[in-house]
Amino acid sequence: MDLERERDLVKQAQKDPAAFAELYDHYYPKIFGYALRRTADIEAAQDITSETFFKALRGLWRFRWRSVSFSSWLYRIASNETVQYFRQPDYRKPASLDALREQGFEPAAPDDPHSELVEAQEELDRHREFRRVQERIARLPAKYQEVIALRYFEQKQLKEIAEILGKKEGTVKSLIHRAIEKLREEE
Amino acid sequence: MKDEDLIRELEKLETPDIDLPGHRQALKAALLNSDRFTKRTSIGWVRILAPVAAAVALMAVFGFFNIVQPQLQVAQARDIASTDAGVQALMAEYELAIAEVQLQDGEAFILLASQDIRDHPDCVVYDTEPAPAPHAQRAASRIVDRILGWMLPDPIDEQRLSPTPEGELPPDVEEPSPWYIIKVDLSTKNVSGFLEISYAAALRDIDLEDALFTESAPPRETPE
Repeated sequence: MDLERERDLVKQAQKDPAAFAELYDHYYPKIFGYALRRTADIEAAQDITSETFFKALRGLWRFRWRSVSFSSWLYRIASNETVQYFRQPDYRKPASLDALREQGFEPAAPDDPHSELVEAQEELDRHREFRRVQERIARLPAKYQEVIALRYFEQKQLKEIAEILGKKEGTVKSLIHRAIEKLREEE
Repeated sequence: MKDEDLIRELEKLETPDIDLPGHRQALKAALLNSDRFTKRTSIGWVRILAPVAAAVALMAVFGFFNIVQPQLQVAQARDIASTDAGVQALMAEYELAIAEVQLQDGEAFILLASQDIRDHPDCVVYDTEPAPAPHAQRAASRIVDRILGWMLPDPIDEQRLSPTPEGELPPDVEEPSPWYIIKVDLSTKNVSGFLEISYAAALRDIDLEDALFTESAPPRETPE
């Protein structure tokens, strides 16, 4: 999405649902994909994505396009939610879940053969190499998980990672370096 | 494995790219139907206006009790005094005018002074010494005077008299007429006391608490 267009949409989205919908359509796949690649858990990725967008909607009125772009702001929320997920084994957000249920959606229905969840799980299981690497990454401290996922799974540049994490580019560079060392030690 | 090999492995790793249309649509509907879009504007305004409204209300209360109310009481006291028959008689007899009004403990003290002496060039006329009042009132009173000027029945005379530096009347003033201090009870809206003073003074120079006021206007001297 063009940066100017995105800037206009963010401004309009504070009042206009259609503008927010356009932003959502653009960013849902990215945020869900990021959450999924961080957790390798479809249900958790759903919860993290839901909570990210609800928080974005709630905080949109005070979002100002200054040092952080909207994209980085969304990734930052998703990153924080992912950290919460790893810290809390029973990570569930009643607010966003209730809101989804009001729309007739039941996020966790693994026993339903027609559920999109089953299909998605099968797709995830086909990526065995990814799951193996992801298991190793998941054992690292959160700060290393973040930088590896953003750099190598999301293909983000150092500048953008720095923006998402609120750190200097040099700090991000050394974090990635140490994260690779730690990951190698996990072998 | 070296770091470079691991980096290469991560860069080439095929990651899952899964779409959940059901979740995506349900979440979108939940977000767009949330009350954020219907209530956000009003909540935003309430958040902005609530502290402003509170500050304005506090200023209004403060301003009323410290600035507006005293000015209204001064105007009321002047009105009560100038319509009282005894006061009117004194003002007519000695050509006195209201020179100063001071509020104290629910009462107003009004100085009736001779216009001749007030206008005399040797009298020390000053307006720099403020009357006893709260600090904030002094600071704002001039502004309020301007704002309320149109609604007050008679503009407050900021100029007051004092004796000459030696405490004497100007030498060329013959047979100085007496001055009076009128006490007005603001709760009953009546003139409640009279005090004759035989020298030029300002209200702040007189101990109003211990002064012996008479209940009625002093008897006027009849010409022989």
